[in-house]
Amino acid sequence: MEKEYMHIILADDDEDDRMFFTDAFDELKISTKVQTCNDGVELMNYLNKEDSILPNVLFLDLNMPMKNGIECLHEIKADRRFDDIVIAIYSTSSSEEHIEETFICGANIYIKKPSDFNELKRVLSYVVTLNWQYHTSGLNKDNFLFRM
Amino acid sequence: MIFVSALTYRHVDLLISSSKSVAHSYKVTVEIEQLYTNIKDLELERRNYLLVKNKNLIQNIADLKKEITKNIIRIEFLTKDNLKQKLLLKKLEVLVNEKFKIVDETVNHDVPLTVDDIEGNLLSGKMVMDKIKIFIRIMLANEKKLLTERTAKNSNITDTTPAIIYITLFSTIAIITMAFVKISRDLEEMRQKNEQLALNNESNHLTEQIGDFGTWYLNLETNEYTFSENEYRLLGLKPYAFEASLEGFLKYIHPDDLSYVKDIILKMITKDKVVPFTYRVIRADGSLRYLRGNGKIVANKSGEKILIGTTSDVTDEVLTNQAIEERNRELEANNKELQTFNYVASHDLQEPLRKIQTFISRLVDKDLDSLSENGKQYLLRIQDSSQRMRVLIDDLLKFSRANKTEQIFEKTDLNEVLDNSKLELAQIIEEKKAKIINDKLPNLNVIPFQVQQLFTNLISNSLKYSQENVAPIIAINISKVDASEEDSIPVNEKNKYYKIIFKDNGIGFDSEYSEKIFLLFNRLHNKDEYSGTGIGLAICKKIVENHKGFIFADGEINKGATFTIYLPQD
Repeated sequence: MEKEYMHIILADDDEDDRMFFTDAFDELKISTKVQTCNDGVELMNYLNKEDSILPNVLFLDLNMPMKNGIECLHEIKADRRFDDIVIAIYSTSSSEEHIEETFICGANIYIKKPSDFNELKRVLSYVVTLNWQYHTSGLNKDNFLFRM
Repeated sequence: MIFVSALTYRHVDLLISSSKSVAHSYKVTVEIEQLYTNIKDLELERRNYLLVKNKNLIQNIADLKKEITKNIIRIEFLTKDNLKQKLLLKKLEVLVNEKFKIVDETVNHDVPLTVDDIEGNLLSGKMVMDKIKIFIRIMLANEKKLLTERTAKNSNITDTTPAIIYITLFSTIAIITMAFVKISRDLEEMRQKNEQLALNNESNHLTEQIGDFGTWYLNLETNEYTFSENEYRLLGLKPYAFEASLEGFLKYIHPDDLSYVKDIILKMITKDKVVPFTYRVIRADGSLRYLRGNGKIVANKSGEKILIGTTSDVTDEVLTNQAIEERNRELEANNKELQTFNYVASHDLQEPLRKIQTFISRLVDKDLDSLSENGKQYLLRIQDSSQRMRVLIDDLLKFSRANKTEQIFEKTDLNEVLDNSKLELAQIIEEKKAKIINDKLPNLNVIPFQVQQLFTNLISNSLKYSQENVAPIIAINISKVDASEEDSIPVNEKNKYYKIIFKDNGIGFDSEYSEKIFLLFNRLHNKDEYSGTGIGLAICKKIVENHKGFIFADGEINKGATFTIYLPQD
């Protein structure tokens, strides 16, 4: 990492989930800058602004009003400017359809939201410290869904 | 008959002509004899004249000459087709003329004759006369011969005439008898055929009534329609209630279907293309019926094209189909609702529960110590309950996935699937020091993740319901079987099965429950003793059914449980 800290964005319409997310990073003691968006529209508006700092890792919830995660994923993957962003799908659902579709669209990892705070911390810490270049080269449908 | 008539006619004709020719021969003979008599008379008169020179004799001589000439003319006429007689007659004529000359000389000689003269005269007369006599005789002989021949022929014909007539009579009687026999036989045959026809007709009518269908014909040449009795009944009418015609029939067709039916009939007639078609009619009593028409164009013996059509009442069928369709729609709607419910249950319920669990985990981590003893207990129980709810929701989600219909079958190595299941359960297998002994499994066309689920559920079941302090042993055996050899499974077109048996040494169960055990949410044990949602085996059953197989359970308390799965070999 060239920067001193990792820039992380979470797009999720659920207030509790945003809180768990930021709290987890607060407790993780990794030098990160965590930013949240309340929905897909807000996320895309931010990303599309010229002077925005692009995140290293984007956590994307799927079920959001106005513009859902899949739509955001399509838009991001269609723009070369966002090629370097690691995209982690962050969803309650672990349905085959969602996993398959997001994999095909080019997301890097699929995380099913854990129901234990400590587990959440483990997952987030794993994701932000992963060597993405190495992981992406060996990515396949079976290791796309994150399992502890 | 015509032959017999011709024969008879010919015979009679022959008879007539033969009689005629006999008569003709007689006539000729008579004429010749008369001629001879006249010539002889003439000679006699001449001699008389020579002697007496009486003037009266001259007149007699002239008359005889005239008569002789007439005779000759008549003979000439009568013998015109007899060449022989004709020639003789010519010569005779010359002699007669010579005779006439002598006679004329005698009459014209006024000077008295000497005795010598008279002698010479008489001599020459006699000489001519002798010649004439010879010719006459020849002619007569000829004619006699002819007559004999003709008479013989005639009598011959006359003799055969009665025979011919009898033969004709008998053969006519025979022919008439034969004709009579033949006609009466034909009549009998026709009567039988008519009876059969009437019977067929009656049975047709009956069949039509029982089968609720009618028939109609359209002669495409004459454009004439014929309707069967039942065709009228289909419209709620008495047979032949109206004269068969298209217009008459169309009157009863539901107005909404009229143009459709007209169109089809036109196509039938013009394009020779007939397909079954269904339409509605309003019967005479106002009731609505569904009819189905069909037809075929055939040529009759005289080469006329005939459109044969059938009409059947399919109201019951249509109504049943409508009811089935309605039921199908309801089922589909219900199914959709159920799927939505499943999605809500498995997905939307997860979210609040996950949050509750996350909050509880934070509370337990951070603030457990600051709670009272009771408070701690309550919090831990809440945690347990929410965990149980989590398992339930996860299992329900699995069950609803097993229910999905659009699944892809792949050729799969079942050994690999079993290994995955073992891997999934590695932790608990190790904890319980369980042993799994399995036969080598085949490659099979299955839905891989479902079979893995099946194996996992069965193994985890055995591990869960193991006897205390006894290491679980799970034996998995496989064999090829024929449906006919197995009592438990029905014989059908899929006859060849793999029979896979999972046998454990666990706590078992009362075989009384071997069927109930597969029902959703059915549990044999208190949930405090054994954790379980009562969904696992229901999922197993669902999966096996998805593969067109069968699953059975058998158990004995404290001895173990056996699960038998049959999967089709192909």
